[in-house]
Amino acid sequence: MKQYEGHVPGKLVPRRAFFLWLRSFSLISLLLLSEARADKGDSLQIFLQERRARIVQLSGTNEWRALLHYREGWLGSLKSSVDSSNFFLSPVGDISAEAELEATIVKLLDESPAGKSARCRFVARKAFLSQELTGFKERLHRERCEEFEEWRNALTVSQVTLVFIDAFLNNPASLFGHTLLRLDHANDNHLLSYAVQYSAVVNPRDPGLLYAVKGMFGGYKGYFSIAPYYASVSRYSEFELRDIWEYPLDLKENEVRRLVDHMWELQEVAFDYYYFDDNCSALLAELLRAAAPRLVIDSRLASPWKIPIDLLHALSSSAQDDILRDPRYRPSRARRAIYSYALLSQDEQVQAHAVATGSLEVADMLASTQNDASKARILEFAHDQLLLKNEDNATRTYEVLRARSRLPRVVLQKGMEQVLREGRKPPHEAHASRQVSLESGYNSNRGQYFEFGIRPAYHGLLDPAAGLQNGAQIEVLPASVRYYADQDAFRVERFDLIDIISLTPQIAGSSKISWSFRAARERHSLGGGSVGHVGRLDILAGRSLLLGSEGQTFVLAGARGESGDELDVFVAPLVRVGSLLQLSESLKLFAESKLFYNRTLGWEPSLGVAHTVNREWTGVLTVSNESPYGSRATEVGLSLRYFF
Amino acid sequence: MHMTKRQKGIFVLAVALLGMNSEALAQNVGRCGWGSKLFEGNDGIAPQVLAVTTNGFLGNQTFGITSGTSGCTQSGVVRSNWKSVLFIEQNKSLLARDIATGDGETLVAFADVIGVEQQDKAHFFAQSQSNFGQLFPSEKVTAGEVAEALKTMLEKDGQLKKYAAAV
Repeated sequence: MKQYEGHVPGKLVPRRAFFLWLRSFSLISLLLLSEARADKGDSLQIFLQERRARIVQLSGTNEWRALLHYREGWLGSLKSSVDSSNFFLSPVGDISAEAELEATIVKLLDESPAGKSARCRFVARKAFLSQELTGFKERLHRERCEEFEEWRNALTVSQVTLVFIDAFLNNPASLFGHTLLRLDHANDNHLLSYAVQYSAVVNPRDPGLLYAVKGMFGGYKGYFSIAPYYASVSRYSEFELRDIWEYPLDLKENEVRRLVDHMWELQEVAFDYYYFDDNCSALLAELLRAAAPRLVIDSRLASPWKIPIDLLHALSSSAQDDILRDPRYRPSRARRAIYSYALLSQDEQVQAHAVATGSLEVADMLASTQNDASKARILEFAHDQLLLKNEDNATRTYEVLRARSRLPRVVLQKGMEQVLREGRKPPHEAHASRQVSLESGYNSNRGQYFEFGIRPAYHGLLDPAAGLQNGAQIEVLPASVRYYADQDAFRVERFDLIDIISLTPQIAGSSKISWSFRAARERHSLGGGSVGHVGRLDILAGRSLLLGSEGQTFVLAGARGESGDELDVFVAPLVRVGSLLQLSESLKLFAESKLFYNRTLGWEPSLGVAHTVNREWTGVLTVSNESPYGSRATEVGLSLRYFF
Repeated sequence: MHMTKRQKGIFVLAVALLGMNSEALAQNVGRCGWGSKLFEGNDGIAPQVLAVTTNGFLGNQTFGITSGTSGCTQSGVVRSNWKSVLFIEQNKSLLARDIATGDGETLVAFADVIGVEQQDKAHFFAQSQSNFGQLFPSEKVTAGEVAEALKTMLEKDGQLKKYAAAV
């Protein structure tokens, strides 16, 4: 329960009194210890007394608060997000900025070995005090911190880059995308830069359910770690086929230095890890603020939901001095493969497929193909396909590469990234992740209605896809309330836990599945004139095909489980067939039909057309027809949706 | 730090039901030990790096990094003498592709790891490509074996000899 301290109003008063007492006690004891060393102690005491007002003032600055990761709780109380006692020099340092600042001054000015270890550990605090507190630098004992210097020299950071990795719906831990920081050297290959990640350190021996619960509710500790960036690229771009956007950050030289210094301070430092809020994006934001306290804590990052794209939105807002520069796009292996595929002749495409699937031997292809460049293209694409397929094909892959190595080098396609980037909006231009909506409509059974809807996160199929993956819907806790004019009554119309649709088109020979999952509670006409709540769980999987350049058409099959007020629990087969089309830049259409069998065959066709006005506003027209319980009802609605 | 199948399954369900955020669990594949205790008691680095590759070398059945902490110093920075082997280990399939085609970002990065100067790069790429069969004698080759073969290749080449020590 420690993590909730400072957020529970009832606990505040006794705790605050206690820490104030403890703080004065700790300061006195530190001073007493110093006084044991005669003159020096006296002069340290005088030093502190003379600067009393300045110390109080400094402890309230953004710089100090960011370095200690303090967050403001109820009634202005503070609580650090750090959960390692070795990070604090005062016993109440986790909740008192002032006590921690005083203790830091005393410790850093201590000339014993303990003082050295603190000076070589808390290098960012040392730099902060040297700059802000008169006379501190002069009193500071000077020595070399070899380990820190070696580490800093190995990093030699000249540029910091924020890396955003697209959502990956086929891994539930990656539904919302991922962010990391990259530390670049001057003129160096960025693959060799170091990446800074924040992640939970888990206990692999925990049984499954405990594992998930601990992950969600703070049972695991989060740590910052660094590793070569190529490991990230290899994992995300090559294996998970996710697009990567690399945003150079416009940080000043002293801010970059402070970032590196502060990372050193975070060595071995644990944070409580929570999926919902204390995740990679929230903690990277804290790290960036420690480096550049001028950054503003945006409401998006203060909200109880924090998803990676919110970090981009927060940093791209006008309050942040344009800290995000134009990103570099690193298309996933799948996108690069599709691009190269389009450059092959039809005959080459056929041969490449045949080589990849094994229906054509490499030697036969080589014998039948005339020119070397063509052979090389076929083999390279066959290799792309082999990598995209999730099969045990190492022998064939090796054979293809071996043959390819015997052919001359072909000049690489230059500018592939630029071509692939055209028409693609970077993720910071995506719509905001929270949405509210107002709808007016008519239901043939229940009459005219007005609806208010809210969705805390994050993207629906009809929302503008700019900056996001088209065909990847994740709606978390969408809910709506309706007022029915005829009955003069308010009703909770819909409350979903989650509604996910992941449409991954079959491209370039890939065999990706599409799927949908929905856990919802809705109101339906139950027949015989009654209306009631129905709980539904839909789980489906299937295939999707590309329709034009942006559209998709899909078939998913699975099951629906239902239970409700006047219904028996039952499970029935369910099929979804539909299309998602981009009609023009601002017009989107989603049409589908749900077919299911529960004693009789039922079908629910629906159509939605969305017009994107701008990043904030979308207008949507929906028409649907349902007859799940024998009473057919048609509904037409017009809604206005606002993203914020 | 890998999840077991069962853990994954339950994890999938829990996430799907609660719509949670971020992707940090099991994310620390291939990281160095900065900020963690993964490195403790890890004194035999060499045998680990050289013995790790048990996944198919050129296929992508699994994400094959099994030696996340190998070759890292306590503070997370990769030790210079293990940089090349760690790089090969973590980029095996892409490096093989680039060597076979004679170019590519991964091969360029590898040239930078061992410090090949600009004027020698074209020659290094060409030599690697024509020696593909020696560098990758089979699909089961390990990162350590590739490094050994590469060292031998560099030593035999007048222009590239000076880079052999960095492998």
